Amino acid sequence: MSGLGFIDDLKLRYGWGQTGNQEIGDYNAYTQFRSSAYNSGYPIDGSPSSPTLGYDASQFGNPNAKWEATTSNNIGLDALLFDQKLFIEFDLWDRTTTDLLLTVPVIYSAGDAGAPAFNIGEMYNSGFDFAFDVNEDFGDLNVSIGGNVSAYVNEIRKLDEFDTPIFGSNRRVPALNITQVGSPISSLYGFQVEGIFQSQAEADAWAPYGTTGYNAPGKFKYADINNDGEINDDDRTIIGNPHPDFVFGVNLNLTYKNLNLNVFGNGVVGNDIYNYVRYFADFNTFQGNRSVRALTEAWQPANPSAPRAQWTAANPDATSPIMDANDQISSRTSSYLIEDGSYFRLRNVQLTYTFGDTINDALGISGGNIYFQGQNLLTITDYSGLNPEIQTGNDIQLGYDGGFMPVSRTLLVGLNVNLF
Amino acid sequence: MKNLKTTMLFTLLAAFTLITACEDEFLIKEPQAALSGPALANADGVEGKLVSAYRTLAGYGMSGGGTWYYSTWSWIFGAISSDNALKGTDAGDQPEHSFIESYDFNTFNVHNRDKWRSGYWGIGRANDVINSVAEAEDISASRGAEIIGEAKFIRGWQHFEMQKMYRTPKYVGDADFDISDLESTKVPNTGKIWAQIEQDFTEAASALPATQGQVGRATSWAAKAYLAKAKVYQGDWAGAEPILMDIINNGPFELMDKFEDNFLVATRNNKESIFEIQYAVSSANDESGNKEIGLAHPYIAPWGCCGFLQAPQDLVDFFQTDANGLPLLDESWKTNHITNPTGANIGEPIGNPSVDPRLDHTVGRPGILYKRHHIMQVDYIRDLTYAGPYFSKKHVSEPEGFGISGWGNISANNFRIMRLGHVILWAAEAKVELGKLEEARALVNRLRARAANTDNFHKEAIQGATRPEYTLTDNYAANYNIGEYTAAWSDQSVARRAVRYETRLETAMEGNRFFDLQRWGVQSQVLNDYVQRESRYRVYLQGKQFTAPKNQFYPIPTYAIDRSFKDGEPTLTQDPNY
Repeated sequence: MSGLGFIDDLKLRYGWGQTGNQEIGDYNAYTQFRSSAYNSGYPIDGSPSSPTLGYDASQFGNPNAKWEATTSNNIGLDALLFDQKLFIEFDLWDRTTTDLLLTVPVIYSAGDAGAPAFNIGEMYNSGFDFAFDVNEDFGDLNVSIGGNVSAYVNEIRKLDEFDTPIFGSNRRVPALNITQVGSPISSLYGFQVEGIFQSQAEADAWAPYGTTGYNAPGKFKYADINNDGEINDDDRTIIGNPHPDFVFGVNLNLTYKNLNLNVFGNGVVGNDIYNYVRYFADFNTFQGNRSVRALTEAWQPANPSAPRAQWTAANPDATSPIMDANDQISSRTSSYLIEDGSYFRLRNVQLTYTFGDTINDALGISGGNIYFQGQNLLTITDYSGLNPEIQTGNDIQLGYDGGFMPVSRTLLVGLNVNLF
Repeated sequence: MKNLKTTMLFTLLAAFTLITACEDEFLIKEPQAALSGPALANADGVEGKLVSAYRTLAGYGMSGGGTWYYSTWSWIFGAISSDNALKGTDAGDQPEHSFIESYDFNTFNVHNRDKWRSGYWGIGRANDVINSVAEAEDISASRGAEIIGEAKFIRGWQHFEMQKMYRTPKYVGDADFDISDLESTKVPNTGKIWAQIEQDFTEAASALPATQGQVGRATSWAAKAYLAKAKVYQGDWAGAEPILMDIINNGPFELMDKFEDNFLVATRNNKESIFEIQYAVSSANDESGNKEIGLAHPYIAPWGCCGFLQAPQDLVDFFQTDANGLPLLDESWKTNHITNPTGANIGEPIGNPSVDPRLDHTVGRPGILYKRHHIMQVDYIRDLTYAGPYFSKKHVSEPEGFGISGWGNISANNFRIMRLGHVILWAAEAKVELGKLEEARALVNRLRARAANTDNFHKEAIQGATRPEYTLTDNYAANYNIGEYTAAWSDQSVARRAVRYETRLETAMEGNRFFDLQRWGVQSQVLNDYVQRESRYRVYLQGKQFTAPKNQFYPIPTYAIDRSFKDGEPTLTQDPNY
């Protein structure tokens, strides 16, 4: 091992495992009924005040479900190098879930009860995790830097027998998430905006939007995805991926004598967010305030008093469609509201001064410190919403920003005193 | 130590023997804390399932989606897509409604999706009832037959909704439905389903009693009325006429003295009603009230939300009458406004026009008392420049029925979805088509005589010190002038027009208009003419175009087709016009 003396410890790991999962709730096997005013109540006796409660199916049963199986492989490398000053951990993994327990879309004529889970899906995940930690002393100064990067790709390989797509829940617009074979789970779905019509001639030359007469100067140029010469429902496509290219975190720790500085931050890169808040702010959805974008970025004619067919652009670089109170088509789910959700956020910065013996003795205490802490001091992002860190809590509704609370910035000054 | 090992070994062996000795039933254990299928295989269970099948008529109650998507009042699919109503509220509110109003019927419209869902939701429940009767040994044969009759009524009713909505719906019978087989209802849609609808109503009519102890249940008369309605929709006049006349002559129904009694909470389940959608509301529960139409209330106190379902200028003008109190069959109402469609005095009368008194029971217009809440003014309107100064009215509760539950708009104002007034109109229509014009005239005059009851004319109201206060004078609120057709009807086309006019005057805002125009085959002509005129004032309608045959029916939702696959192919076929 001569020449490899910089290695203190080296470990190559390989793991394979198969695990089952049956976390699908109780009674999946049985059709169950319920009794409730909303689902099964009806004042059959003519009562003006209280319904008679009936019974309706709340859950369909599937007696044949079994555990889903997840098969994982990972290969990993752990290394401790240079007199234990550098630690590296690297893992490459994939995970295939078969017999995936999915609640499938049930034909509507079966009724409105909840769908049971069937062992029908297949999902594939693969990725890597990398982490390092460097530790070095420079006289009285100790420097420690740690970081981690992870990335994954997700693909739905099979849904039900017929690969019926699963849509997320709808808002004031139809569902904007689709889970379908060949795409990542919960992909963003809608029309693709190719630009804005700058003239009537350009609008007339484009595939018409049904019989609505929508195409006009200042309106969106929707992509004719299926090339049938018409813009219609079939031209909706995947317009965004809510999964990040990678996520990362950094941790910096500096200690000089009694002074310690700790900085921690993390971020994600490459995910798309559907900014539904802008649906309300950029378009005439309700009476109320509008975004500045609606004022400054909307397409405007240079000659507004001329007939529309003769309009030319005052601002050909406009990114928003022309303001039109009666236009509900431009606000349909489209790539217009898709934004890059990448961000880096400085989570925590803390500067601590630990009292030395001189102070301790002077104050008659056994120990103590004084610190300044700042949380969420800085967020670097191009995302225009209030908070790029969105968590929908729903696997088939990822990347949907319906207005998440911004994180609060906290500044703390603290004093710790140990009397004994 | 050795002793312990032996004990453990024997325990394990014993346990193993115990497990393997059990029968297969040991593995099947019905849920204990939940209602399971076997627990409902009795009279109580089947009667409860029947109640929940009726529930589907209420127009909301499915999981997911909004309570206003698939209203039984059909204010979305039957009213705002017609010349009787505007979406109302403001431009951006509920864009899915706006697409329907502007004939942009897209296949992924979520509200259309849920209309489809709701029909087959009710059909499934009805079929489950029919299949469950045989499993309940404690149901008498006679009650069992009645239960099946009621379920067939509901099944026919929901299929009728589907046939109105879609050019080629599918029919799901009890033999197609198995609640424990989610593939069972994947049957194709192959064309019209009128024959099956008629069969359901025919069988219901013969199984059901003429009166029911519980007023919400379907009677044989209700089934006959729907059977006749199905024939009317097919233009089977010879088939419809005797049934309609049987209901008029032999049924226990009479017109209420006051037209408005069909639209008040206080007069629910009255002598004119053949079948009502029942609502109930209490402070603790609004989940069985008329939530499906809760958005369609004025935008000021006491309702406060949400301003949907307004009336167009076209509908107001339609109610003007000539010197004899008759509607303007020469269509001159189209060129003569009786109220200001726009401008400073928007909604106010122009002069003292002669109007049918049903106008003010159908449309809320400025200056007229609005169901005794207060005098209607343009402050009822959410965006006056968008959808104008008029509001809907029939479904709104009088003050006594308002504010009972947390959302005060929700009331127990039953929807008189099948009343003698409708039957009389269809009978008159049948008579016209069969050439019995004078008999048709007599029928129409019955409705006009009732509408002419001065006890039900609105009185002039004078604004008091605060917004809700008012005093009534002895004067009428408008120049109400309605008369009967006294001259003999001799021209079939004029008589047909008179009956169709009467249908609009009597039933506007009851969710029928789009489908009436559909069965008359005049949607394209009437609606494009309407859009062209109305869009002068409600400018957002400019450029909207009804396209036949495409827009005659709504598209089958993409979502429904996606979920219909069997053997690799969808069992549902889209309307070829989409």
